[in-house]
Amino acid sequence: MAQHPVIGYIVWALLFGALFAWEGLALSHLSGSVPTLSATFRAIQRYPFGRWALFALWLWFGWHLFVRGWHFLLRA
Amino acid sequence: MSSSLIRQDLVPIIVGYALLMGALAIGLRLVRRSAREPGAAAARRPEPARRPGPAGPPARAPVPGPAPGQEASLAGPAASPARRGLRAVIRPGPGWPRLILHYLATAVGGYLVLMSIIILYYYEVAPVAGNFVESAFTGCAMLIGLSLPVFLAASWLAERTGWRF
Repeated sequence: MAQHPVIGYIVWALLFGALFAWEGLALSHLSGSVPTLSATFRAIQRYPFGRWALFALWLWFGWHLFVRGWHFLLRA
Repeated sequence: MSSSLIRQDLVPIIVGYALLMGALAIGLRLVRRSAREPGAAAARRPEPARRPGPAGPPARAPVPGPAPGQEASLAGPAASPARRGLRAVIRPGPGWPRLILHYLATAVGGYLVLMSIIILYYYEVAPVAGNFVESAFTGCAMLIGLSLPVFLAASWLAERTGWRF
């Protein structure tokens, strides 16, 4: 496995931490103006291009999980 | 130019370009066609502001809209049967045809968006080793093909049994 600088992992941890912190703030209703992630997705899905972008994101995720990263069954 | 170079480099670009441009052309044609239909311009035109009378603002009259399943009649009585038939195909009434059309439009649109991003990334940012582009085309198409029957079966179950996922 390749060795990477620790700062790279810290940046990923901070990004995911910020994502979950923002979602937690939205769910806690402490700030009424912060939409939750699901509300944001609903707003995006009102528009065709938003639906395409979300579907592309879902495809990209599934492609990495089940095609590129899976060495057992669905490996191309 | 060797055949392997054509197969690995040119074919994905040409196929992706043709798919993307084809989808854009279909969308543009649909938009232009709907804009040319009689009544479409009048429907988009904003209603002129009314001055309120002494008794206050007039009550807004209800605007009669088309009943569900009657979108095909929006083309007007003067529309040709072919146009009405095309409109019925493009915007079918509520039910399975509309659900399948909605799914197909979303799947094809999302697939084209992802393929264009992957091609741009591969040729403009970082040429990832291995069969990156080929795997993207075939793998994502396979995922769509696998998920479509599952999605339809889940929709059928939800409608049949009233389950909510």
